[in-house]
Amino acid sequence: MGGDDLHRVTCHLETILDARGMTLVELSEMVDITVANLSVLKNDRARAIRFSTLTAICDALEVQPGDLFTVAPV
Amino acid sequence: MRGRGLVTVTRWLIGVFMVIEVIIIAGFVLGASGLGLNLPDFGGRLLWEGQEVMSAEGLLRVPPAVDIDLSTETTSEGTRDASTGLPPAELTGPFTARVSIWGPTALERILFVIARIAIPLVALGVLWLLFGLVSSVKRGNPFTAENSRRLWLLALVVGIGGTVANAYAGWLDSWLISRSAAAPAFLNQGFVSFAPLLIGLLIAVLAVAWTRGVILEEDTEGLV
Repeated sequence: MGGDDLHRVTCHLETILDARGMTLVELSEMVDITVANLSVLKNDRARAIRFSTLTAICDALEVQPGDLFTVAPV
Repeated sequence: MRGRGLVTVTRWLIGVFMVIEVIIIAGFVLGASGLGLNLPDFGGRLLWEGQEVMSAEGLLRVPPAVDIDLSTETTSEGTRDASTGLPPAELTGPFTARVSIWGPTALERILFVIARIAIPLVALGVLWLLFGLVSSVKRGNPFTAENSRRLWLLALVVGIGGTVANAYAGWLDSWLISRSAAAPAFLNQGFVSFAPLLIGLLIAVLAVAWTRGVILEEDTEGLV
């Protein structure tokens, strides 16, 4: 469940990284985004994401945005 | 970081100026025109402005007598000063003078001290608000609602406080002179500066922009 009462978006970054045996540090180096920001995303504390960030992560993990995020049902 | 060093130096400077303002205020309250205490003069140099005899400044009704010959003569190079040969000079007004107020009444003392400490008090308030603002920069987050309120308060203190303090000081001088034996020599005119009001308005504009910055900061919190 998202960490903000205003949305129900859940990020599955941790699940995808575990499946690939990849760490946040390795992903950070691939996409040139700080570990701190990736951690914010992974722990559902992010409130917004830049399209450039989303594109870089999807390219690095070879996934689509729908694989990375889901909206929990009401 | 280079910025942190600059912020630290600025905080120290603000602190030093705050101490200076407190000393100035204390000097007027405790000194010759206030409570009448003898303040140390540090070897004859009057570092305390409050040590001086109470005085008021005003515009003279007629120019003072000046022992300088400024007559001119026509020369081959045009009009020149007759004494020095330099281009001609002319003394024009307005001419001001200070009147010493001996034996002030208790009311005159109180009103005088209030007039003299009003502007330093405004300055102290401004410095206090600036200290808080600069400290938030040091903490790394200046765009906060608290700083937005500080800027609005700063605008009020400078704009209204500065104008009122300035006008009151001017009125006080006129009032003191009008009660003195030298009153006939002075014009019953004062001068009010609206510069503090203009500066306060500029700070208010900055406060509007800062408030927008606070909203943007909140909007981008949690943005990756």
